[in-house]
Amino acid sequence: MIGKTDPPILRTLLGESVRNLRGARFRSIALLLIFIVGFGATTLETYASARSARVEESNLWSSGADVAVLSGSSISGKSCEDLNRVEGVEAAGAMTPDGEVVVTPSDLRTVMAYRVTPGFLEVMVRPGSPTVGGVVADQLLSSQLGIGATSQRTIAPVDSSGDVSGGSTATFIRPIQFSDRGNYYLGSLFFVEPLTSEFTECFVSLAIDAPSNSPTILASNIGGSSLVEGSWLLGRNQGQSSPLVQFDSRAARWAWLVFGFLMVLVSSALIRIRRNEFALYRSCGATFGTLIKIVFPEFLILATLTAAFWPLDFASYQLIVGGSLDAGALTIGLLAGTKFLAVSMSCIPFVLYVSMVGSPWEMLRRDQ
Amino acid sequence: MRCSEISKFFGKVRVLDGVNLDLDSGATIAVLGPSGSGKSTLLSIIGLLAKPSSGELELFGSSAPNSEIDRAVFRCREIAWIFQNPTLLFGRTVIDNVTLPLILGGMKRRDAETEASSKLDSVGLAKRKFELAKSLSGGEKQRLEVARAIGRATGLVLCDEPTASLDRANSDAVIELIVSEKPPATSIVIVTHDSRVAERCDSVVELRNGILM
Repeated sequence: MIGKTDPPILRTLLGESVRNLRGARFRSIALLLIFIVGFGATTLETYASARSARVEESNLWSSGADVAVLSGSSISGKSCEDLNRVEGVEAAGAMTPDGEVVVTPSDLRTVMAYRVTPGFLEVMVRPGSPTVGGVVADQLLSSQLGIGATSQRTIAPVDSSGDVSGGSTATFIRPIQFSDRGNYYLGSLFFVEPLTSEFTECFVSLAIDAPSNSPTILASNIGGSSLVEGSWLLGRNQGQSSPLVQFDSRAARWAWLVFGFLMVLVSSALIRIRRNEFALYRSCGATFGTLIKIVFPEFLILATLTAAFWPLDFASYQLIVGGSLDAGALTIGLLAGTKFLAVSMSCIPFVLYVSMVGSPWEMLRRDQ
Repeated sequence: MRCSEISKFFGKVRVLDGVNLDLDSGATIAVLGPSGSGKSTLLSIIGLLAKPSSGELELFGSSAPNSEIDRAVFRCREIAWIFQNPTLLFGRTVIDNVTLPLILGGMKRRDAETEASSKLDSVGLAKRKFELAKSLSGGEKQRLEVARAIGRATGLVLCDEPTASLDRANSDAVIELIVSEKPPATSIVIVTHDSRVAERCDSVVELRNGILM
């Protein structure tokens, strides 16, 4: 044996990849552009959809869109609270129509959290909690909720034994407008749930994907009550999916697969037309493994350039349009883009292998 | 290289008939013959692209490998080809084309470029080594192909009509390069129609209807 038998040096092969890219500038630039369009379209679509869904979802909540009001001549606080166990109900609670909750010491139970939307106060009972009184909110929370300082008052005095019998009647004045911050805030606000009082309205917060017949079911759960016409504050159709659910089920969520497949075709075509080039490599001693080490980095370099380009572009877009970086949506988008790149890159070994079937010398001779 | 009673059939057609051919290490041999005489088939068998129907081929003192994998490895490591039309990486520089087999053989690029520069100097392309291969003329491309083939230091270089597409001056230059610049231990088989090419070889054989005359 006279010829050299040492395996090629990896760094040298990587240099070969770079030289191939430089040697075929048009092909490289075209491939880079295709990568950028494919990766970018995939990422941008996911990012834009996620952002839109989140904004829409937020708007729904901030507009109190999922709140229904059941009206009746006399609705007990207990039956209103029982609606919490109905499918599709996120929370239910009663308030007087004039915006005042009048509670007596015997009504007091401890609650651990609340949810507020304009015109609605949701009270959640802490399971197994002792009977104690509480306060509405401290100053910080009041500020966050957008309720006035006058709303901060002690509902009932609490002594060391938890006895609230000595408390007096207290009134909570419902604020005209809660802040957006209040919509999602689940704090440890102690408030009262008027279980024994009688009300004329029961406010119900429905899950966005609640069954469309929820209002009817709710009304049937409270005898003598009916859904107040027009009380659905959201103009959406009942049973409409949440924007976030729609985002998860949108057809475009497969865009990465579609673009990835297109890239598979493009990559395959670009590899196939280089059959003679690969035959030349093989005739000079390159094995399949050697060629993989040369060809794969060529695509990987372009993909990396693409992946490096898009976060920068995204960041600038968000800063200009939104004024801040939305890391969550950006991550979702980049994951979609990365899946696109993974699909498009996965075909390379296979296509290269197929392109190498046959004798390289025969290929070169046929080309004569 | 030694061919012993090599015959080759394509169906019922006998293309080679009991060919015996010896080639010493470092020797150059020309195979002449009209079209259809079996020259290319003989070259394919010597180059391990085809198996003889009968007979035996020895390369470098041992029988030619039988398994396809062994034959492929042997071809890559020990046999270089020069075709009628140059097979180059046209988008790459002249020196890249010569360094290619060297780096695939495990040589560092810097060392490969030093050796390639020497080869390019010997074929008269040193001044153009950083130009793209596609910018060369036909004769220069063939000289570049020669530089790459003889630069590999393989044991055997097979030339399939290497001067057929060249004018007389370039043809002379190319054959002169093949003969004079090859490594001392490298044997060369040249299939050609050109008797002037044959004159430059150590020995000449002629094939007619698959029989070595």
